[in-house]
Amino acid sequence: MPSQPALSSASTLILQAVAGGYRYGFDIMDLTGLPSGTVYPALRRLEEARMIRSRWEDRRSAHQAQRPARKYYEITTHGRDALAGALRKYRLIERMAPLARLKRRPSRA
Amino acid sequence: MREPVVGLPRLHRWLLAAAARIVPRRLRDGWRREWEGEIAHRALRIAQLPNSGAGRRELAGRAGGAIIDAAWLFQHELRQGFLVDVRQGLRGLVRRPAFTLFILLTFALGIGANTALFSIVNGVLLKPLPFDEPGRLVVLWETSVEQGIARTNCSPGDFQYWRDHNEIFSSIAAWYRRSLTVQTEHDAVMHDAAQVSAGYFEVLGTPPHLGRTFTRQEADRAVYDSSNTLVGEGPVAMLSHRLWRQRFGSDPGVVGRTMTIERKQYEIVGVMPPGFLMPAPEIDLWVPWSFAHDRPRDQRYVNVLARLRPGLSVGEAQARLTALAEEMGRLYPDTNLGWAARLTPLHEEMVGSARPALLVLFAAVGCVLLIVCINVAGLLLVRATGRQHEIAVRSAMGASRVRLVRQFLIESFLLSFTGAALGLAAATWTIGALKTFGPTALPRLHELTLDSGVLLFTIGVAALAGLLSGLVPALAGSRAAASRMLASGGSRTATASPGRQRLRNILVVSEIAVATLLLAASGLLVRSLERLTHVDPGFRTENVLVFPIILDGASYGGERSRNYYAQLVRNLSALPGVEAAGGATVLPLSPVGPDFHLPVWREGTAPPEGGRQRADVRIATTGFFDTLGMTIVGGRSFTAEDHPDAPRRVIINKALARRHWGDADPVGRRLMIDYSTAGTYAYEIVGVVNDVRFYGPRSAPRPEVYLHHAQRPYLIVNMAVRARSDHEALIPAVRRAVLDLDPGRPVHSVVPLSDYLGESIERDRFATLVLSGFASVALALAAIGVYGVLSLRVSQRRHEIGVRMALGAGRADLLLLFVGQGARLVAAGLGLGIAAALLLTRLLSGLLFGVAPSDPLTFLVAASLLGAVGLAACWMPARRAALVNPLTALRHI
Repeated sequence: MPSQPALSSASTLILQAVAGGYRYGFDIMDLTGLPSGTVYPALRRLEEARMIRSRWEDRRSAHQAQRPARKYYEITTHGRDALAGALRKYRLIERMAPLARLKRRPSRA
Repeated sequence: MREPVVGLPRLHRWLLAAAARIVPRRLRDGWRREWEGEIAHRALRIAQLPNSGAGRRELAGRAGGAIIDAAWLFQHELRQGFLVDVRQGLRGLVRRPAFTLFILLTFALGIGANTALFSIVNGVLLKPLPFDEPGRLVVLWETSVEQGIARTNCSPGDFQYWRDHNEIFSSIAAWYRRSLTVQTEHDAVMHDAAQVSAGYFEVLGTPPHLGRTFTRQEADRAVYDSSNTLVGEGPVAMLSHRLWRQRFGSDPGVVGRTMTIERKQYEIVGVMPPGFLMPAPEIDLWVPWSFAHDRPRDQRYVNVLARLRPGLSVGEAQARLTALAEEMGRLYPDTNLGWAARLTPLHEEMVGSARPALLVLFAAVGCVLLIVCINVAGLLLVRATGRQHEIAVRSAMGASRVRLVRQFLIESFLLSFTGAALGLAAATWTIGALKTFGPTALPRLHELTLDSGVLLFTIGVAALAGLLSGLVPALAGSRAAASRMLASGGSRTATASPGRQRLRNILVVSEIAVATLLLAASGLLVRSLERLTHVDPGFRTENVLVFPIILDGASYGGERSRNYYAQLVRNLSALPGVEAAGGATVLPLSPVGPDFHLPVWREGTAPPEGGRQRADVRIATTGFFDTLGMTIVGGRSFTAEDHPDAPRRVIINKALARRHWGDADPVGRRLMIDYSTAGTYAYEIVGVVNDVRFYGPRSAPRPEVYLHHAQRPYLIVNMAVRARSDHEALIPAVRRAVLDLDPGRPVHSVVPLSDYLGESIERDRFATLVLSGFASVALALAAIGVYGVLSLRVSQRRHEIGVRMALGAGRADLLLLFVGQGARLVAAGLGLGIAAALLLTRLLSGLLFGVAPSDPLTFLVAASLLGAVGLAACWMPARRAALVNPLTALRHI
């Protein structure tokens, strides 16, 4: 059973980005403005806590673009619960990054 | 090799390859592909943009984050594995409570003893003195090679010359220890005091707790007469924190008030802070001292303390001081020719004498720790043997060697740090007890604390102990031949590999060697202490009480002290239970009282060149020799015949008689004594007394001359009273007798003379006791080590024992077999230990008295004791082997 560590504000932000469809590490950085040295360890921690899981993108699309496949992250049910809990806690963040607007944006992947 | 990734810039590829090296192996490939995917994707997009410079820079920054990501994974993996190992280690230790407890206790003992001793070494030797820039403080003294005086105090004249012609010291001051009696309406109490020159407190740089220190005017007013009685006006005093608390209840308004000291009104100008220990911790009063009218050069009795100029080294200061002394020798040839001045750092002066013993003890406690580690290593090695199967399985399941070693080390560190925590608690308790009951001969003892330095040392020792005791079992245990072990069906009783057997033997041999070394060293100290306590000092200390009496010149100047002491001797002798009473200016080992070293020669011969032949000249009352149990070996003792108007008479000791008269009888001959500026007088020798070791059992007897107090009255006399039986019970009567004679002249402290003698060897006793304790622990641990190794061997060879018995081996054969195996280890350890002791015990020579560092008897006793204990430790497991039932043993495969 994965333990539920308290989510830091950066982790909440990142989890929320993943929930909002920003699935690749670099896209999360683009969105949040956080540096890669913060985003990746946070992703590792979230994955270890089973709040997100990782998948490899479809090999064919990568091959077509003549580049290696990328790894993406998606939120789990457990992650959604944790996010909801954290957002209640971080109302300030909720106000600063309106979820509704993020959702309407098309994915850039 | 992986195919080169399309679209990935070379610099980034190189960076990822480098960072991937620290990513845990099982994650490495995925990690690299993830980063490559992201970077390649972004690089392609940037290439499509018209202005790609900014994008590239940003990408480079992000790729740099891969290093942070890799480092995070690295530490995360380490931490996860570490926690698992710690949990596993703890579980393993809890499962074997007896084993764990034993190791914890030995660690606690070893590390606790090291901590306690280090806190002493730290507090006494390492920590700077509690003064401002203590490294610049020095003590001055004078020496004359020509006159055979290695070291003496300084003369007031020389002190003033240094002060006035000084390019060496930023400040310099003189002090003299004395006693002062404080009188109130109810009582009169004598206190230890110091008479100090102007600027004394400025040299040390310690500000007063309350009020101020002495002004120059106050110091200049404080003039003393020839009997060291204050004649100046407006006397002032400073109090110790202790006296302020006791006498004034820590009243902050004490400054400006007066108190009666030596029947004069002194104004209190200040209170020193607690723990101010100059010139000694027991000083309660400081009074100023003018040198304006007091500048003799031939009487060397003042102590001089100075602060070196900034940047001046002790060596340079000494060179300049030597030049100054030569100048003084030219200017004042009568008193200073052939005299030199020396300076010693104050810290060295205070603790130098304790250094050898402390360092020896510190080395010994290091040896104890070594044995503890060897012992624990042996036990862990035995356990590793029992765990071979588990280790083989783990390594087969992919645990790397590093991981296995780490597992072992984590266990040994768990043990050593828990043991250290216990040891620290024990050390705290020990230090507390030591401060209360410790040897007063150990300087700075009251300053001891368990500070951060000690704590750091303990942590270091615990880490070292964990490493020392864990590394050998870790390396040996992790080398488990996985395939062989699993193939052998995992027999848990499989005989250990010959390599590991040898390792255990080496551990036991070294343990015995170190124990032998400690045992030999402690044996030497015990023998030396025995010699010291049995040396004949030339006087008898049993049932003798001693106390100093210091009269003031105003009340007892001139001839008046003669009557006082004559009456005191009579009154004390008349007390019931008193066998004899008498006194002298100084008693053997007494801390206060003047000791004169004056040139002497036979009347009729030429005075010795440069005053080389000196003798210790003392003034004794009637009854002195009887009271101290000294023997008149020729002529007579002092009697009523030696009254003030009779010819001047002396009693000399055998050493002096031999030096000046050889085998001839000196009684009736005449001796010349040179009092320098006070003149030269001839004395008739009326008796010869036996030699005494006046400065302690280690000192050699010196030539002595005793004058009679009736003929040469003196204000200071150390009194002695010999009781018929219980001297302690006599103390109140003695106090009353003294007070009855003069109510304003109380006795400071009445102590048994044996205390003085005891104090002189207290440090030896302390060192011997501690080292013997260490040696016993070492002996016990070595015995346990031998026992453990042999027990294991017996249990591992049960099957073989069964076979041997089945083939007709008797119990005696088996007993002999195993005892013989143990004895070989003991013998090897003994041999090594004796060799090491022969090399190392010479470091003890400074502490030994009457025993050679390679004393054969001591070595023999140490070796026999260790041999006997070692063989006893072999006997028990060997006997178990001999009692094996062959049937069970054979079935037990």
